[in-house]
Amino acid sequence: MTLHELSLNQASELLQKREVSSVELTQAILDRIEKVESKIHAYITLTRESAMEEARAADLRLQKGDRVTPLTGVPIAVKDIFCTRGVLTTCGSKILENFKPPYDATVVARLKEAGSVTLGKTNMDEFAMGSSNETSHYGIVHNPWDLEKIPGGSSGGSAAAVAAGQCFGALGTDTGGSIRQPASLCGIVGIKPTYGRVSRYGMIAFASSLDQGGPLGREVQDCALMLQVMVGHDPKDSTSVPMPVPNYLEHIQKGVKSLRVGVPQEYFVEGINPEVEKAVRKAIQTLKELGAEIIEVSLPHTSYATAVYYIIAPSEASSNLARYDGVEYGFRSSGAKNLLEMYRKTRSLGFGEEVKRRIMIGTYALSSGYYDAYYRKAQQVRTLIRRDFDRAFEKCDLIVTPTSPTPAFGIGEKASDPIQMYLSDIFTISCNLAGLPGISVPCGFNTQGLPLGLQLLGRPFDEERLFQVAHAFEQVTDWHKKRPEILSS
Amino acid sequence: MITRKEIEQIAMLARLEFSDSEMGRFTEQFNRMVEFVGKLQTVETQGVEPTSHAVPLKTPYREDKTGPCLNPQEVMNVAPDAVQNFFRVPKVIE
Repeated sequence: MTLHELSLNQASELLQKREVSSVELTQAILDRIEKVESKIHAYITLTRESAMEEARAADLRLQKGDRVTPLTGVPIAVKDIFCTRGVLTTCGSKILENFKPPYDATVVARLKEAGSVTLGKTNMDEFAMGSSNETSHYGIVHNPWDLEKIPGGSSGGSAAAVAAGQCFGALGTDTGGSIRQPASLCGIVGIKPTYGRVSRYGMIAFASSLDQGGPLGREVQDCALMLQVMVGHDPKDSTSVPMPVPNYLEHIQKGVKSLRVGVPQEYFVEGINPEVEKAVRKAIQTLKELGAEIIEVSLPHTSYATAVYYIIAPSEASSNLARYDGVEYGFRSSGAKNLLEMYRKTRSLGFGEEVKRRIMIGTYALSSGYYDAYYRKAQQVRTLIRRDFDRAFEKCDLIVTPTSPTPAFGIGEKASDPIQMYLSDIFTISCNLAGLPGISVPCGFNTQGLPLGLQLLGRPFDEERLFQVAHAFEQVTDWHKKRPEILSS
Repeated sequence: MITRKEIEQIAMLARLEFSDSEMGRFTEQFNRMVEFVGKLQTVETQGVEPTSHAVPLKTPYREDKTGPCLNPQEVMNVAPDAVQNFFRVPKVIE
């Protein structure tokens, strides 16, 4: 097996045993990027030189046994939504085409502190608004399993980079499925932690009550190793929760015996791709064979989740994105005669279509006379969705569903129809509205060889259990070991 | 049905503008989105508390002490147009 094909966990072990150096590992990945990046386009910015410097520094730490962590010397990628000091941070938008933040996001700082090597910033839907990565101002990302297909979104660059061997793990963010859906469509693992678990400081805001950062990796343990470094209270984020964090690896082998696994009937509805349903049903059978008790549960307000999301997320976005006005940072349109014209021209030229659509919808939903009918109503239905989960979790310990209703779709296939695009997130959105943790793990392939994903949803702050169950599933399946053909080319 | 005139008003509130050719398509898409989210009106929500955050939150307090902050020069360096420690913008009042 060549170096770029290793899992993060394997790479980490080789580094600890000093069987490979971080410089060798980083060089191998940079060579890999050189070879496949023109086909995938997973990165917006590559930081080759600083990556090699960080690799040399990591090797010194490993040599001296100085502050060595499982991530020391491991090359990873960072979604371009996280601020990185002195390194271009575009958020996939023209409006931040020249923005080099004067500070690091907390999770970026924590990963650096742990000694990881940053390879670059990954491509994404503009301001994380999209499910296919097609709204990026910096070009389309191609799915490594089929270059004519989308990788999912909005963390599509991160997912494609992991799947194509262009990093050992990557940071993503998830507002309505943006880690789990691309993980599913690219055949890898991705976890959205409980809201409040991971600091949002320096993570460019889309919808503040829903956004949460998390890792993507080839295997469950890879994500556990990364998340371990990312979590924990941060005084710089007022929504960061000061709760103790377990050691995710300590009991990861615990298995699923006597766990109650809930299957919500509302997630197996008309419109779900038959191959997806078949793979997920088979995965549920596997969990049963491993000793889990399968229980049918009901989440009656599921069909309203997408509508709730498309009021709440755009409303919060319209407020968050008001800051892009051409004054303090980023792009400014030239030639305006007065301030108002400067604002309008800057924002109209700086934002892409999908972002403008959402700002408009949000502005409308929050505007005088419509607030109660839309925003407040959506917040009330959000309460009902949350209560559905509370009730379900009285009967079960976790819930399993498909991650995405379909495998990866064709580039351009849904780009002209916003509502069709929004429906690709029907299975992932409720988890954000309820603030729960959710993980996607590979659970099969369709007849065309496209990966399919299984989603596990847990009680708040129960990431540990999601890792245990996902790991147990991984031990008896080999979907996660398959690599796209581009990897062997 | 939301009219083109109303869309123009929302665009003004959002500090956006659309060309004539964009406007037709945008108005149509906007109406479809409003129709799509309109299904919520059928849900009975009498007496249901709204959820703004899924996790209960309290305002965290800290001591009123100065600490490290960003270097003002580095902050001004990323501005499109700055003079000393000021952001320069076009005329506000004609």
